[in-house]
Amino acid sequence: MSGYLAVDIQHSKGKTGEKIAITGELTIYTVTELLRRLRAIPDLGKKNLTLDLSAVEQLDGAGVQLLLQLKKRMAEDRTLRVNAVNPLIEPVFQLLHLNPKTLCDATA
Amino acid sequence: MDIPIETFVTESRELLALMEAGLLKLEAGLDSASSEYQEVVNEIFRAAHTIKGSAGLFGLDAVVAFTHTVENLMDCVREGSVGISAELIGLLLQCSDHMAALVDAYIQTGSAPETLVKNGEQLLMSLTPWLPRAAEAASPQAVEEVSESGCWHISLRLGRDTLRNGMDPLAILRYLAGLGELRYCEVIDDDLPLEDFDPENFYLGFVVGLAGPLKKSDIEDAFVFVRDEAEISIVPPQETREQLLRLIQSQQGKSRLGEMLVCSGAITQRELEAALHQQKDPETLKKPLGEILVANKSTSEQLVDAALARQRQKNSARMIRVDAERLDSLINLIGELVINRQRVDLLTSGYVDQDLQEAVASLAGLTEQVRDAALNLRMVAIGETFHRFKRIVRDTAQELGKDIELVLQGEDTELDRSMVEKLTDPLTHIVRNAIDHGIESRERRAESGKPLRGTIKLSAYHDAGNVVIEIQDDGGGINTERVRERAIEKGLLEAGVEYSEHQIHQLIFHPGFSTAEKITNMSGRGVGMDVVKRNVEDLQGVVDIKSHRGQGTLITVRLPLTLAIIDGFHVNSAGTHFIVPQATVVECLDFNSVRRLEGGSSIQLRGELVPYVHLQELLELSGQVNQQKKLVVVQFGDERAAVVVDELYGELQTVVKPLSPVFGTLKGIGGCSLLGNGEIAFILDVPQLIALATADEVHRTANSALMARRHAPSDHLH
Repeated sequence: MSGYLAVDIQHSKGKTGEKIAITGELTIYTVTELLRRLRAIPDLGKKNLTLDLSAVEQLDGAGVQLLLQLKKRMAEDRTLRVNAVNPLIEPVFQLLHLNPKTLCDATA
Repeated sequence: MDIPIETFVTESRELLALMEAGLLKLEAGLDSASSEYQEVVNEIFRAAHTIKGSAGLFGLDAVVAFTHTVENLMDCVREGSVGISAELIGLLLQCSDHMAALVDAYIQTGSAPETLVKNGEQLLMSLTPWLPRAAEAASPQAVEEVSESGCWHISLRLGRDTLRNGMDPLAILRYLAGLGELRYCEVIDDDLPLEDFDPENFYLGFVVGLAGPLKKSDIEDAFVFVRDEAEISIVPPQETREQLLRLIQSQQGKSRLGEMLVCSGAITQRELEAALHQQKDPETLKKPLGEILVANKSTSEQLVDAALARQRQKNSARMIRVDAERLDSLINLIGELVINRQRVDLLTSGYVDQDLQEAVASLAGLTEQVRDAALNLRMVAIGETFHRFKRIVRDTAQELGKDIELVLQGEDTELDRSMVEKLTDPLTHIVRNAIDHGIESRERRAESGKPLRGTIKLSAYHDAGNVVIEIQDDGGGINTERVRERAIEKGLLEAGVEYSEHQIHQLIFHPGFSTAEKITNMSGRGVGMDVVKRNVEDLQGVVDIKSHRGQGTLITVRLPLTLAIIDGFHVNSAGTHFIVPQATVVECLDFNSVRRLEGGSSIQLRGELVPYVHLQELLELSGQVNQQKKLVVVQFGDERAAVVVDELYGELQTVVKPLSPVFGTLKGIGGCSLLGNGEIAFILDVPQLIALATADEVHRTANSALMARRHAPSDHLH
């Protein structure tokens, strides 16, 4: 087993909420590992969450699903925002007509 | 009447008959879990649905409004949210009657009269106990997804294992985006779980709008690798749907629903195969293909309806409505052809020319075929007439508070169209009689240990050139004693004389005869059975009655197959030509070589006594007679007799021409015909002849017995 990790997260807590930066692949190959790490964070979703996707190089259907699940898990009055998106993965959001900043329907 | 609306009237009457038949079947009792129940319920629903649709096309608003509720109700019945009960069926039968009345009103007056509409509203109100449930239950026909104009509306729900199988849903969407313009896309996360989320399962759905000059099969190709576990619905854009509609409506060639839809592009071959496969699944209970396709979201109900309408149009084109008079004149002409051909036969019989003989023989064969084909056009199955009785029996039995089941047999038996019309009244009377006087009340039946439900059996079959119709009931039978008493009262019978049961039963057919204590409004007035007998005799048939007290009664009506053209046996008596219907001829004998009974006029034929008549005597013919007389034995039903004639010629075909009413009283003759040599031949009415021969014989035997008694030595007390 190599020491190379296809995906990595960095978690930090701030004044207004939490921040998670994801690095690497966000695909079928990495979602299980990613979820494991996210689950390790206690009370995730109870505070406003900001995602940094500027270092995500690949995003597939599984990855989008995971992001959407994260959003769905947010507590009722909490929001999830994406503050940075890697240009490499912008086409995915365009294809899905999803607003990359909110992960909501682009027309909404 | 416009042609299109004429078609609507015929179609809706047929559909209403179907509805009624279906409702009666339900009433007779069907297990609601059985597939037959589902089929019948579906049929009733579709009948109402189609009538509503067609009525809408013609702007018959009252029909549409009324039928709409019936259709909704039937929809709920077929889905199972409303249960069938005797009460509901009774109401639904009234509804179908009302629908028929509405259609008739529109045809006759162009609108629905106020009173009729009010009746309809009341009828619908009586359905309300069942309707609120109808309103609540979700319609199985889901709200149709309307696509944005100009866009194919695709709804996609992939299987859980999509990711595991190595597919990336995004790749599919990219493919679609490559086909045209992805105008909108919605990600559906309803199924995305909060707990137990497995990131390697795929839970999302997509709804996209795709614009472009596309065919459905192009879009389907995108899902080639995922469709086994996916739910996919592809709805064409509005213009394409209109295009499809037009394509379907102008379809030539294909006549099966599935083929029509594939041909026009409404569904793909794969969707058709999937639906056909589902149809064979015992769970879908032989649902109609259209319904499966709509349920699978392969196409819209509108397109299925359009295809079905086109199918009906094309099917009805296979049938032609023919003016009855034209058909009759055609048959007349063929009759003349038959006669003429016989003339040719006669004229050429002397010529030895082989070619000529062959040609004449083949002419004979062809004429026969043409004759048979033409006569066949006039044949209709008696089934339709029989089925009408189901409703009559049901309603009458209900009125009288009796429980009666009508069993039909031999509905495919065919007879001449003209006969069917003339039979309806006599048959109706016989059936009503059976219900009124024949079948006893439930209490009486219980007392006698009979099943509470009485049975009336209507059957029809062919027998030696005749059509036989039997009406059998398992009721109380004829009260012979009561009949005898009444007959003596009326002077029809002599007191103190022995009569056979059968003879007494025949008196039922006597005019003015009735033993009913109460004259109900349907029978018992005594004008019935004699009219029945006369009607049957007008058709050159016979009616007979057999009854057993306590067990039931059997009425048999026997009619010749056709009255137009017959095969006959040509004979001559004292210079006059006669034709004996071939179907009645048993055999021909030499008069002098048979054993005759002393003092009577019967012959011994293989152990049986057969009465005979001299045609010459009977009809008082004066002409040359033969010493070597001939005997023609004829039969009608179980009865036999023989006719003594002077010459036997042979078989021929002939056209039956009715006798002028002047000859109405002539017994034994049922029509006349033109021979090939131009002479007239009289066609024997065999049933009448047999009756005459038998009566004559009884008379003679009685007389000779009387004579024998008078002249025999005995102990006189004087």
